[in-house]
Amino acid sequence: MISSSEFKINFDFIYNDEEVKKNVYLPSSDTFTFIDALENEIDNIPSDVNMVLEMGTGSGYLILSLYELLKRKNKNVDIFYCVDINKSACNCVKNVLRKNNILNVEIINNDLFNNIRKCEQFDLIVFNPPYVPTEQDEMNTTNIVASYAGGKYGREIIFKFLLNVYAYLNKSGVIYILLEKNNKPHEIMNHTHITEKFLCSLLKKKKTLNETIFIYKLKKKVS
Amino acid sequence: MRLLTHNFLKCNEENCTGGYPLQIKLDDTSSENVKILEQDFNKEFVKNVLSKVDYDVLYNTAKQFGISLLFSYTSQHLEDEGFLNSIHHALFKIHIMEGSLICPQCHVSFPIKDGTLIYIYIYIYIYIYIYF
Repeated sequence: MISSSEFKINFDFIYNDEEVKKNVYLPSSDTFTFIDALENEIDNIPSDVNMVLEMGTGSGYLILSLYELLKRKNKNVDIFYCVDINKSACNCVKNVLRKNNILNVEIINNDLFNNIRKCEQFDLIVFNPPYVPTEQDEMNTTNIVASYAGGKYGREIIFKFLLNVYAYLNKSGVIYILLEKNNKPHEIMNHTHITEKFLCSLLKKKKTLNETIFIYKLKKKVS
Repeated sequence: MRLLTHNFLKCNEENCTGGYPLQIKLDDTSSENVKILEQDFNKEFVKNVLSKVDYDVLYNTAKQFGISLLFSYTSQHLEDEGFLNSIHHALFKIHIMEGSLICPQCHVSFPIKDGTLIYIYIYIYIYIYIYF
C-alpha cells in the first residue's frame, strides 16, 4: 500500500491525448508558480476542508496537484468541484480523474458561477484565470481561447469572478487567485468592493521572461 | 452528477424567474443512466452540508430515486447516524450519468453526459427575412 507521503497523480493523459493538446490549456509556468505557492501554504489549509472548487480547471493539473499536496499531508477533502467553460477541458479532467481512480469530484461545464445558487458552500476556491489582455473579439468563446482571453487589462473575467464569489464561500472561506502584472493587481486588491469583503495577502510574486505572476490569498471577512 | 450538485443549480436564463429546482429527466435509452457509487462517510461534513442545501428539494428529489428521507428533521436528528447516513446516501452516492435537467419555467434543457453536466446554454438564432 502506498503511504500517503508517496501519493502521486499520473498526469500522462494530459500530455498524450491529441484532443487535449489541441483544445485545452496545458500546464505552464503560471501553473507551476501557483503550485509552488500552494505548497508553501499547505500547512495553513485546515485538515477538514470539505468542499473545494476550482474555477477554470483546464486540464485539471492545478487542482490535482493540490489534491496530491493535501493527500501527502493527510488532509482530507470530501468533495471537489471542477468548473470550466471549455467542454474539452471538462473531458480532460474526467479522464485524468478516472486514470487516477479519484471519484469524489463533480465536473460542471459552465461559465463561472452562472446559475449556481449562493449557499456559502465552499471552504476553498482556487482560480488561475484567463489573464491576458485581449480585444473584445476574443471574449465570449467556449474553447481554448477562453483559457487566456481576459479582455481589458486582462481582468474582465477576474473582476466578474471576484465581484460574485463572496456568497459562495463559507464563513472561514479562502480564495487563492493568480494575477498578472498587466491586470494591475494592486488596483484590483485595493478596489473597495474587495477590501470591504476580503483580507488580502500576497503569497508569491514571480517574474518570468514575459510575465510577472502574483498569487494572492483572499480570506472572507465576516460582517 | 450528484444530487448535492442538483440542489445547488438553478436556471440559466436571464429572464427566467422560479427556475428552481430543475427537473431531472433520465435518459431511458441508456443502459446505465444512474449509478450508485461508494463515498466515505464524514459525519461533520454531512451535518455541515445539510445546513447549506434546500432540504425540501433534497427530500423530493431523493424520492424520485426511491430514497425516502425524513420529511423534516430537528437538531436531535443531527446526532442520529442513521439519519445522517441516509442524507449521505442521497447527496453523494447517487450519480446521474445520462439525462438532462429541465427548467420548470422556461423549459430549457441542460444535458448530463457521462456524469458531467453541460450547462452552457447555446442560443440558436433563427432569422426570418420577410420581404414586403
